[in-house]
Amino acid sequence: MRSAGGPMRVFRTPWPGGVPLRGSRAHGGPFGALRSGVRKVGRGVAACVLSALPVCAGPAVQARALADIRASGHLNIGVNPALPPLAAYDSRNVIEGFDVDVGTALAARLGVVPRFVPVSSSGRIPYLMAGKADVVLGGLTRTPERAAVIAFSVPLYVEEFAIIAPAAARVGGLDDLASGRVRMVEVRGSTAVPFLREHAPKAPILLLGSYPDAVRALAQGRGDAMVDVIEYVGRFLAAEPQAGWTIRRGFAPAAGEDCVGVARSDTDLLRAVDGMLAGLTRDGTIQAAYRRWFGVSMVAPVERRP
Amino acid sequence: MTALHFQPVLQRLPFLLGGVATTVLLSVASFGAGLFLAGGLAVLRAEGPKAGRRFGTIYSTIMTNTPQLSQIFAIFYCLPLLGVIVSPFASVFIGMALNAAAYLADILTTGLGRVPPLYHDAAASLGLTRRQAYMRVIFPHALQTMAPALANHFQIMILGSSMASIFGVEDLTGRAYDVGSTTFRILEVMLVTGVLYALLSIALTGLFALGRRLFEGAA
Amino acid sequence: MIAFSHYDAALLARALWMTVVLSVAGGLAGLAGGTALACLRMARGRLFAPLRFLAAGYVQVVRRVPFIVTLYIVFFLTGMAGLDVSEVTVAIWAIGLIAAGYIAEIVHGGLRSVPADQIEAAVTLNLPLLARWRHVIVPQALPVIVPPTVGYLVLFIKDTALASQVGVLELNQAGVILSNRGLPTMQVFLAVLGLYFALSYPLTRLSRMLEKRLALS
Repeated sequence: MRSAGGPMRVFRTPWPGGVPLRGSRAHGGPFGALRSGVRKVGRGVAACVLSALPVCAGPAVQARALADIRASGHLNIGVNPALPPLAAYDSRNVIEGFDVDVGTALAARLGVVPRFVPVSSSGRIPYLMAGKADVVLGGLTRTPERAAVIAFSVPLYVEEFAIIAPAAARVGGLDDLASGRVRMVEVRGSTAVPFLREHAPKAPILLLGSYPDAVRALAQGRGDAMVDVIEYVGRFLAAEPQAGWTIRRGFAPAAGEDCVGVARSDTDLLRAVDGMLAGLTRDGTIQAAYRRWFGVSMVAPVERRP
Repeated sequence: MTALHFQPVLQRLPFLLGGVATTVLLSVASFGAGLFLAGGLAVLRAEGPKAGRRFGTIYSTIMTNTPQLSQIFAIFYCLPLLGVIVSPFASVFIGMALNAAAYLADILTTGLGRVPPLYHDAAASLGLTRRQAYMRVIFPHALQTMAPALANHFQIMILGSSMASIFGVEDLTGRAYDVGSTTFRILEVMLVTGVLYALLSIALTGLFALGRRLFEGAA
Repeated sequence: MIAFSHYDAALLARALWMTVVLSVAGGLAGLAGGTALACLRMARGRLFAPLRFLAAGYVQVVRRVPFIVTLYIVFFLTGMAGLDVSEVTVAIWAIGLIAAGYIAEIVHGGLRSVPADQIEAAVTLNLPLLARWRHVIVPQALPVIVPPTVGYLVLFIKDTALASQVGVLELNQAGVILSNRGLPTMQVFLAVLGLYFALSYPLTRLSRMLEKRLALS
C-alpha cells in the first residue's frame, strides 16, 4: 500500500489519475507481500538509522549563555499560560500574572526584552535542557530529581499541597487516596504525580495536559480528586461552583519551594538570576507581585541551597 | 545538556510498547466503527431519499473540512455538558470514528460508483433482497476495488490516533509524554517514539497487504 | 447565541491569521522541498544512488510518523542545535517537512506517469534537457500532480491545529483559551470549527475543479 492518499478521501474519482498504487501492483503469490513488507521494513529501519546519525554526531548543546542573551536583546522566559495566578491570558488577550511580573522584572534588570514562551507543566524541564527557554517559571518546585538535571534559583515562594475534590466524591485524607478507590486526576509533569506514586501507589491517575482540563475533568466526574497547590486551581474551581469543592490541607510534609529554573550549564545566568532576585526581594517587587496576584501576603521563603 | 542519552528511555521501552497496544486498539476499533458508519452513509448517498442523500454529503463535507483535533475537543468538552460522561479513550474513539466515517464514506461512494450496474441486476435476478445484495455482492466488490484507499486511510488513522494523548489516553504518544516528563529526555523519547510508529505502520501495512493477497488468492 | 466580546473576537481573528500563516508558509516549504526530493529521486546515474536512497527513505519514514511527534522532534532539535527560533517557525518547518514527504510522492508519481518512450523520443530528437522538461515532461505531469497537491494542502490546514502543542496560538488553541476563560464551550468550538471550514472548503472546491478541468484538457 502507499500512503500518499489524503486527497483520495476528498476526491470523487480518487486515483487512477496519477500516483501509481503500490498495493495494486502484481505480486508473486501470497509471499510477495510478505517479502516486499520485509524489504520495506529493512529500508525503513536503514533510513531511520541514517537520518538519526547526524543527530548523534551533532555538537554538544549549550543553553544560551548570559552573554548570548545580552547580545540577542531578549530573554526567553517559560511560563504556563493556563496557570493563573502565575500566568494566563487576561480578557484582553495579554498574558499576565505573577510569573509574568517576575520575568519582566528579571529581563528589565538584565537590560533585555522579555519574550514569553508558553510551556505546559511537563515541558518546563525539557525546554530548559534543550535550550528552548533561558529560564522557566510556571510553579517550578525544587525536587532532588529535578536538581539532578537543571539548576534552581533561590526560592521565590512556598507552596502547599491540598487534596481537592468535588463534594459528591466524598474523599477524605491521604489514607483514602492510598486505598486505591479514589480516581485521581493530575497535571502531567507536576510534582503531585511522583508524590502520589510514592504515597498512594495504588491510586489510578488520569494525566491531563493542563490545570483547566484537570479541574474540568473533576467537575465532570471523570475522576474523584486531585492533589495540587490550591492557589493554582482557585480560578478554575470558581468556574464550576456546582461541584461544591472540598479542600483538605495540612497532610504529609507536602510543601515545596518554587524557584526559577535555569539550565545547569548556565552558571553565569544562575548567579545573575540569584543576584537579581535578591535585589527584587530587597526592594519589595516580588512581595508586591505576590500580593497582587495571590491576594495575600507571602510567607517568607526559607533561604537555603539544596 | 551535553548530548543525547537514550539509556533512560530504552529502559522504559516495555512501558512504551504497552502504549503501542492502546494505539493499535484505538486505530483498529475506530476504523471498524468508522467503516460501519461509512457503509450506512454510502448507501444513504446512493439510494436514500433526497434529504438523506443531502445529509450524507453535508456530513462528509463538514467533517473532512475541519480538523479532527478540534472535533475531538468539541466532543471531549461538550458530551459531559449533555450529561454523557465517557472515558477519555471513549471520547477519542467516538471522535475518530465519526471523523473516519466521513472520509470512508467518500471512498465507499466512489467504490459503489465503480460497481458495474450489471452486478445490481444479477443480484436482483438471483432473488436477493437489496440488503442481501449489498452485503453479499456490492459491498465486497466495492471494498475490494477501494482496498488501497481504505488501507491508506487506516494508515492515516494510526498517525491520527496520537491525538488521543492530548486527552489523557495512555497510547504510544501519551506514554512517550509520561516517559519524557519523568526522565526529562523528551527529544530522545520522541525519536524512539517516531521509530516505533514507523515500525508499527510498516508492520500493519505489511499485514494488510498479506491479508489482501490471501483473501484474493482464496476468492 | 453567544456574546463574544470585542477581545474574544480579536483573539479568534489573530488565531485565524496564525492558522493561515502556518498553512501557507508550511505548504510553500513543502512544495519546494517535495519537488526537490522528487527530482532527486528521478536523478539518474550511480553518483546519485545514495541520494536517491535517502530521498526515498525520507519519503517512506516521514509519512509513517505522527505529525505531533515530528513537531516535538523539530522543536527540541532546534533548541539543541542552538537555534533561537520562535515556536511559529518551528511549526512551519515541521509542516514543511511533513508536506515535503507527501508532495514528493505525488510529484514523483506524476513525473513517472509520463510515458518513457516519449522521453526517449525527445532524447532521439536531440531536445536539450531544459526543453525536454519544458515541452514534454512538465505539461504532461502537471495535470496529474496539481489536483492531489491542492487536496493535500487542505489536509495540512487541519494539521496546523496540532501546532498548539508547542505553544503556538492558532485557531484550536484560541478555542481552548476562550473556553478556559469561561465562555460557553459548545459555541466556542462551533465557531472554531466554522472558521476552519471557511478556510478549508474553498480549497477543497478548487482542487475538485482543477481535477475536472485538467482531466478534460
